[in-house]
Amino acid sequence: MFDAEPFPEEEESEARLKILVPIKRVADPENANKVKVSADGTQVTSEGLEWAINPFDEWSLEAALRLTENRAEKKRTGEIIIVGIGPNDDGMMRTLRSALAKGAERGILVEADDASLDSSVVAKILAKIAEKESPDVVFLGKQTADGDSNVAGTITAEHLGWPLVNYATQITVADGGFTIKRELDTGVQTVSVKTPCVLTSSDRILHPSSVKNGITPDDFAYPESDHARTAPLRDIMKAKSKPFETITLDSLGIEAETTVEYTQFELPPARSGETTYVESVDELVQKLHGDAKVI
Amino acid sequence: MALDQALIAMARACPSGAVVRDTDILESFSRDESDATPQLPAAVVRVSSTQEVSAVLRAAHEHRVPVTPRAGGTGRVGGAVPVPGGIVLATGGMNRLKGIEESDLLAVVEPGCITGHLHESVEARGLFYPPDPNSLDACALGGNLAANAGGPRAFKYGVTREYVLGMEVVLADGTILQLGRRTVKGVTGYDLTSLMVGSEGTLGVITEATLRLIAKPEAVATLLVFLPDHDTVARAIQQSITKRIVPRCMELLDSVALSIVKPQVGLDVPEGSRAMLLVELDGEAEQLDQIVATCGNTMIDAGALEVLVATSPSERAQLWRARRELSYTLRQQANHKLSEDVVVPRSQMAALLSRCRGLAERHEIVMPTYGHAGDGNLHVNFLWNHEDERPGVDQAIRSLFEEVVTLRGTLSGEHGIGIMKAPYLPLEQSPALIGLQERIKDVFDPRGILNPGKIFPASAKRFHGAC
Repeated sequence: MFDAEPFPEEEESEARLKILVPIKRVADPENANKVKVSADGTQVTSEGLEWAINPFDEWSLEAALRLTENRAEKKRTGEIIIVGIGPNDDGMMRTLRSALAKGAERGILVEADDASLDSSVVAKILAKIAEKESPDVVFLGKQTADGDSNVAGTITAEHLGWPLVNYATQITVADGGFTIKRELDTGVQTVSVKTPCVLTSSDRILHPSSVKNGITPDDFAYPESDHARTAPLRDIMKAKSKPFETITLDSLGIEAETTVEYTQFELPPARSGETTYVESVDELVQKLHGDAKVI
Repeated sequence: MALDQALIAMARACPSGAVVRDTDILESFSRDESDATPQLPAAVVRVSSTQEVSAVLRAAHEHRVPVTPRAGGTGRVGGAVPVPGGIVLATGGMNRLKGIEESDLLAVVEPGCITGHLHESVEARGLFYPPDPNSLDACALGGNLAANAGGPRAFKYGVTREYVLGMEVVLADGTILQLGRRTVKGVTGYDLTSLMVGSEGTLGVITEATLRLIAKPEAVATLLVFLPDHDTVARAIQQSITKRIVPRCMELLDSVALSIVKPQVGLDVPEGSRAMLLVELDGEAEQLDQIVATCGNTMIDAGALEVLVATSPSERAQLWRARRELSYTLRQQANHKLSEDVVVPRSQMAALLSRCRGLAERHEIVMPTYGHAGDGNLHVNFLWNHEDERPGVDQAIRSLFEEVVTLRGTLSGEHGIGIMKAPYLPLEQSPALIGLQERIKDVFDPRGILNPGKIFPASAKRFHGAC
């Protein structure tokens, strides 16, 4: 019953957008309390963690899916290639497969040791793959939920010499590129960008009508959500047979030389959980005002 | 005055500040999470040890002051509302998780320990405490035991009673008793532990509980199933049970509930969906994918429109959000809301749903229904805006209970009877059965000071205390 129906062929006249979406697996935010630091404080240990797609990458993936489909007719009209970088283990494969189940066409895993990666190495890898695949867009999360460095997209654009638009809140497909809105402290900035380009997005990209690709009817509203779409069972089944390639850093001709050296990690201090009981509202006000100085 | 003498004795027995009479604070102890009419107690006594509970009860017993025990205060039937005034015995401060014993697979908790805190603590060690009442972030284990709380996972794992090995209770006269044991097996005397569980604070005050733990399931997957009608729901559930699929939860939203929460689901709800099932499966990681596929395929064979699957904790939490917040969402829909908590045998669930629709039409009331479809436990809600609609609602509720009893079901699956359902108890239980229970109550609490007015329809009148 879950035999994959062949994807309907897109109209000849429509440009078939090709988007590279890098996916990092991070400790699931629902289980962030299980993150541990090694005894010597030199690294965060991943033992026993449950993995999920970096939430910021999830936004990019959702935006990329919206750019490459006719959602009203549930048809894919473009191509998304997922790129994961890290160890070839069960957590990684589940994370990448879940992105394929949400709709991406194929996947690439670049095998690497987590400790040998930083934004600089990641950007080199992504640029190399972009050169090979020639996508219209490399669509990254603006940052990762664990590293928070916020620079991989920018460095990737620099390597490629492609235009970069960070923190997109609305994307409209235009002739030869996109018209993109960005929300800044001073207002909304509208920029035009030609493909190929590098994009990152803000969470506003998940709003019901933030992506207009000229294929999904303009009045179509996506559901109000703060996550990427959830995959139906039949697409999870289909994802198992989607093309997936595993490559090494060597095959890309890249040496994992990190420019950032982490010297010390520590967990935030645990909360004491101590409770103070008060007798009256007056006493509460006095404590909040006088002792805690919060009102 | 007897009350003042009792309060003086209580204040002497407890640390300073334990006896509270500030009306602003009393106000927050006058209600629970039900629509029961709030009642201010004369005082709240915040206890911090078994000895204090014993001393407070001894004084209350001597001076015949009614005592309403309270832990988290999240009950749904008015069980913690101090109907006759008197004092509220607040165990919220006794909130310690006293220990987790991995080799004996048990945890020892105080009554104020928050259920969600126990979950987190045992799960961090690869252990599992299955009962998961919807209010798990706020409710406390003392109340869970007193109400024999359930929750979605009861379908596979059973309710609170199945996880209580033993407890320490204080009787109405201050006597401290150790009930039960620390082992799974044991047939020594009457099973008073089980009697205490679900007794709604009418027989004694729980001051410590020994809870059974199990191994935490390795992996969990959550499925959202959209269905075209209620008959398909019944068929889907029946077929998955025939296939020996045992989900840990099987939650239903009927067409009315689904239409109300649809904008908040955050998902593409397929056109033509008139019901939603949230199915959660757990087991060993290697086998789970196969079980998910079997379960999902069974649902589609039965006529489901779409099956969405989440496996990571954050994606699963997203699917649960609409279900967890349903009760609050419904409350915003109308000026008044009553939620009933009926259970029917699983085979009668389609019949119950269709009778609910009939009631809604006949009485012109909006009746969203949701709940634990796997075990036939449905929360039937009544929403209305104007006071003059109330008589119709009352009639509909009575008809609902009559239908439930006819279908061989029961009035309360997991909320208890409290004051909200006490008038209806005779619909389900014979006078002889109610009489026997009242005599048991007299043995434990001869002066009737513990949580008066609860469970039994006549008990409010039976209390002749000082207040």
